[in-house]
Amino acid sequence: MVEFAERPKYYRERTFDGTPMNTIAIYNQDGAIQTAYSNECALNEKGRDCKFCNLNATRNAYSEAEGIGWKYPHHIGETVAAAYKLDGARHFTLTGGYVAERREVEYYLVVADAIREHTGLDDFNGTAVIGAPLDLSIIEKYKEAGFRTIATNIEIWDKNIFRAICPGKELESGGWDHWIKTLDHEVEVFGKGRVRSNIVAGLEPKVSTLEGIEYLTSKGGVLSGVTSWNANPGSALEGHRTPEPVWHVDLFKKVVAILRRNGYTYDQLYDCAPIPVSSIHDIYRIEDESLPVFHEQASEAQAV
Amino acid sequence: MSTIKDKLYRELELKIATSVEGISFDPRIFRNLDITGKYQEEVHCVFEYDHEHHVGIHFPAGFLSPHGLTFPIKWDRRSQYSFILENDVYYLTYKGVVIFPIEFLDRPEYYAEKTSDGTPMNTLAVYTRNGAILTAYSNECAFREKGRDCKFCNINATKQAYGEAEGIGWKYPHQIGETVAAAYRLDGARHFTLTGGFVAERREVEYYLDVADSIREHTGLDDFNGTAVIGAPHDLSVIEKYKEAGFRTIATNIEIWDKHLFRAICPGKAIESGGWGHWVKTLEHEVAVFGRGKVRSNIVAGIEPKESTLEGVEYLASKGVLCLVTSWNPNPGSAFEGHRAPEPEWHIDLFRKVAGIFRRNGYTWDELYDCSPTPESPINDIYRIEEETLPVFNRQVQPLAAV
Repeated sequence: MVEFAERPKYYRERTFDGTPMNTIAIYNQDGAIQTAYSNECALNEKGRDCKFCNLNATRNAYSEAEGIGWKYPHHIGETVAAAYKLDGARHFTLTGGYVAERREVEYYLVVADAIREHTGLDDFNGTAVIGAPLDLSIIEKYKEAGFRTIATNIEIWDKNIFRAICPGKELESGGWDHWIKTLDHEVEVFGKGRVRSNIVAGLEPKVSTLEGIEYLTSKGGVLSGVTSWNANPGSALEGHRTPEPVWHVDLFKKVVAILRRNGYTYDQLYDCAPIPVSSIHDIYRIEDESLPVFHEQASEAQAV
Repeated sequence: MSTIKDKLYRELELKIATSVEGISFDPRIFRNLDITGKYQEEVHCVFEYDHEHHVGIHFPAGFLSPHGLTFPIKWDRRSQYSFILENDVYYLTYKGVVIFPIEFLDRPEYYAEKTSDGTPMNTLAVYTRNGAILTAYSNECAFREKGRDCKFCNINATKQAYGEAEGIGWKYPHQIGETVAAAYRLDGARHFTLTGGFVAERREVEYYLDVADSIREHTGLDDFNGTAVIGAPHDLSVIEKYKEAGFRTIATNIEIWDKHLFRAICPGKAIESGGWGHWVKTLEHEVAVFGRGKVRSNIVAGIEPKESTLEGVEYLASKGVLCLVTSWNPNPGSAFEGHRAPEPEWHIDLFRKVAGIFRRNGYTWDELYDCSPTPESPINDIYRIEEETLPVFNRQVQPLAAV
């Protein structure tokens, strides 16, 4: 038997200019919301978008039908405030496709200002998801703006597969080595466990992905996770298939073991991740016995 | 009413689908089948194509569809395609529904023979059907020692699993010469491919020349229609030696067209054989020596985006190279074990496009036949369907009664 996820209250609200809030920020469950400020990626114009990504195709298919487009800072500020007030949300992720001329710095700072203004919170527990900037000194600006954590997604650990699968990240963001250097710098600015990177799992051999997770978490102080590659419509890899379920099951267990061995806590994971109901989170909460069902069992035991 | 071509294309789609998804069965279904007697057995001379090992249990090498296409068998117990046996007739089914009855492949006569030193010939050369045989002189690859074997390859794992059980090991030139002669004489074979894993210190040149000498000696043929499959040599001048030795065609398998993926997926070929650019240069030099249409390469299809693979096939075709594609089969023991090839429809579309590229560039069936390790690939099938040269067109084959 299944129960579908409940609709958050803020989804029925609108911003002051009439924009439905459910088109501004998605509720990722358990108090986490996420905004993709842009549902397109400028790397597509040069044919350099990541081969697993279907951001642009999704926009072409759905944006008009679902009323999804560019989000203005005030939209986001109001929506985050509504979610925090009405649904007890407590973590916000700001992400999106590459913006032409990499103008996202200013945008992110203005969004942070709008959130602080509308929530009244100096620390709104926000994650800024950014591409590796060519000028690393701007990382400090994201911290000053009030983001608690930062994320820079390497996507692929094998350098050569990175070059093939993420040509834009390679050619327009300094290359694989620069992405690692960026993550190192982010840890210096934000601190260990306050920097996240993601690997899309299934595009490279598992041993390579795990090598990356191990390196980033142990040497780098980066909370590095994996998401199962979903060979989706509109991406260059449409028609391909992700590895078998058991491959992924094994990978998730190994990733969690690496994270726990390196001392990363659930709170650090929660504060960095866009979705707190990922398989990695589930394993943490199963092992820590912090899922609601454990409390129900305890209550039943006490009652008996 | 559908034409024979329609039916053949439908069978071809099933062939590709069952090749990608595998076929499920309980091995005991073959207990009364005369494998190694009447029917050709699968021999693990290079790769395990099944999705799990079955050491000690013989499987048939393949089967025929009602209109005469040759299907490989790739065992996968999770597949929704399966074999059933009813009233002594084997059927291919999908989700439990019968598609058509099948006939397993008859065993070539040379498989029953032994060489002068007592080595069974079925361990020396595999019959890849329609007059083609293939020898893997070495069923291991030296790249493994440095962790540089191709990520999709399971040659070493296959040797470890099957080498001893099936008596497969290094082949000596005289053994190959005798086997080729027997196949040519007894079964009307007319094409031979010599391949194998990388040999330490790249000593394969001398070996290939000795094998060619032996084949010429035992067959009495100067031109035995042989394909020499080699890694890109550092010294391109050795290419001429293969031609002088009597090989009619040559093959150098690039495996991946995207340069970056090539480095990642084929680190040995990238680091120890001159790199991607050198592999392409080698192919172009081979065309200069052997001639247009007498050089083959191969791309393992499904690891890179289709667009990239087609770019490679198109480029090489324009340069005189017949670049085949074979569907990536994530097999046990490879670094990609557990991964999955693209969906069948992806492969079907690719094979059609590749055959289209070949035909548009004027490559003939004979050129394709002379280069290919097996003349029963989907590309070969498309040629024979379009040119109406399959036996069923001449009513030489009565289609198996379809259900």
